[in-house]
Amino acid sequence: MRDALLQVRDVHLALPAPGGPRPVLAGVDLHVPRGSFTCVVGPSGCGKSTLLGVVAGLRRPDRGRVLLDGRDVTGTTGHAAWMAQDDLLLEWRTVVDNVALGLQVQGLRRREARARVRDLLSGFGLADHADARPSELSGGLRQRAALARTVVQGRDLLLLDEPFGALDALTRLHLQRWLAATWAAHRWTVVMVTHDVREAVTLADEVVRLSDRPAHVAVRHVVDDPHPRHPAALGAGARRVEHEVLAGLGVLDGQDTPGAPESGRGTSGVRGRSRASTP
Amino acid sequence: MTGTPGRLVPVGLGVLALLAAWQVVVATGGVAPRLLPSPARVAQQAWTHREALAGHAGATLTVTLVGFAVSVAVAGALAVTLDRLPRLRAGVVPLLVASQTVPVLVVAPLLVLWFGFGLAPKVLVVTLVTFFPVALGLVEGFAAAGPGASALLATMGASRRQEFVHVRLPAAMPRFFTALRIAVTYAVVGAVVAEYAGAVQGLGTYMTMQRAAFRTDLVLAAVGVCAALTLALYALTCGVERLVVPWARPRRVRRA
Repeated sequence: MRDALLQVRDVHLALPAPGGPRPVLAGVDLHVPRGSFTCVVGPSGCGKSTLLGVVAGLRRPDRGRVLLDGRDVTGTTGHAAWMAQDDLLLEWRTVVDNVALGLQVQGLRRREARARVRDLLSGFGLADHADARPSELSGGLRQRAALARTVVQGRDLLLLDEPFGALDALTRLHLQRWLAATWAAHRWTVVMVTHDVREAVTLADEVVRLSDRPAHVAVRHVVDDPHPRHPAALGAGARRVEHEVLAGLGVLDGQDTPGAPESGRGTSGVRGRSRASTP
Repeated sequence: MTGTPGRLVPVGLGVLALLAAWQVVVATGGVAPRLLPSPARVAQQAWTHREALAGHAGATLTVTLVGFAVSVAVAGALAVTLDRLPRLRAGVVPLLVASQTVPVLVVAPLLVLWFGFGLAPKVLVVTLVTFFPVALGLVEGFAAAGPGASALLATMGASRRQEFVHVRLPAAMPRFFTALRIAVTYAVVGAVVAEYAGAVQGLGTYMTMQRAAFRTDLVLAAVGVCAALTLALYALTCGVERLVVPWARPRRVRRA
């Protein structure tokens, strides 16, 4: 095993429900090497977000451990930067102040935090919007700001919960391309939850498919096509994994061939030219 | 804010029309000035007695502002406490609602009986009248922050104090100011009612004296001063709101 930054070991969690606690996670294991991109996919409502909440420390598991760099961080917060599907931008803060929020919480003065953030904004396409309020931004720009706020905290681990889930298909495609390129340049350690299999195979080194509720890891797929990949022009390796994941999720009837099936975003039939890939 | 003068024009015209109709009715209908003085006479008498009116208005304003400040301070302390203790909140909010059912008109004389003719009973009445909207506005405002933002701050490793300063307090401001605008309109009326119940000065006292002397014109003049005070305080609150809560009003459209 490579040097694992994050290890999730046999995590169990039941959540309160009418009629008694309902098991949501039933023995989930993750092994996330430093500098890798892991995507967690699974059936709707299987507990993907709950799992991310456990890793972030927002929920303490009933059983199991979360280790960061070998350190037990189970049930504690502050070790990973977390981004929810809802961008959670604070409407009373301008973009630059929203991005600087984490640094202020870490004890920096507002002025220092702003200064440190300003240079970074251009990398996120936000340089022209630094002093705008969130209500003045488009959906895509809001997600970029939320992502910048996550990255700027300087944590070893980024946890992204469906970061593009609320966007229209075109904006989503743009941001996937942009994130693929930006990640390839920085190599943050990322665990990202998504319901979009195409998105997963575009970004990830490893795609982890969870089972139905209560969730455990059903299959791990390694995507070893070189980064950055293009969501509309994936290589053979990524396409094969996409097909396998979709088949595993039960959305293929078994007669489709790799390349034809899509993840339901209306891009059916887009056949990317195979780029350099290792099968 | 462009458009404010434009919006004031119809209001001004309406008020002018009303005053003109009143003037015409009094001038042609032969109503005794003692019963219903004309607006011109009210204005003229108000001017003649401007020093007395201003003195009493000053007393009322003092009661209003002190009472309002006490109200906001106590409501703020209570709301912060309740925000920390959700179980207590469930028990106390109904009590706040119940406090609104206390008929101030009845309680005010009792308060004067208990606390004398000084500032205390009047300040208490103003506090009683304005406390509920301010406290409820803050309690609901803090809750409006939502669990998502709190979770975000938690993952950043924020302390409870940081979470409060960065999320709950600013999130509460729009509701707080809505409540403040409502409360400030009650505050002047509350002060006048308290003065009615027994005081040595203030617009309420002045009205009682003038009514006893059958000076309807001066009673109406005092009513006008009350209304002007309320409007001024309301406008002041709106101005502060615009400074403190600039995000509640979009500055300009800037969408890519």
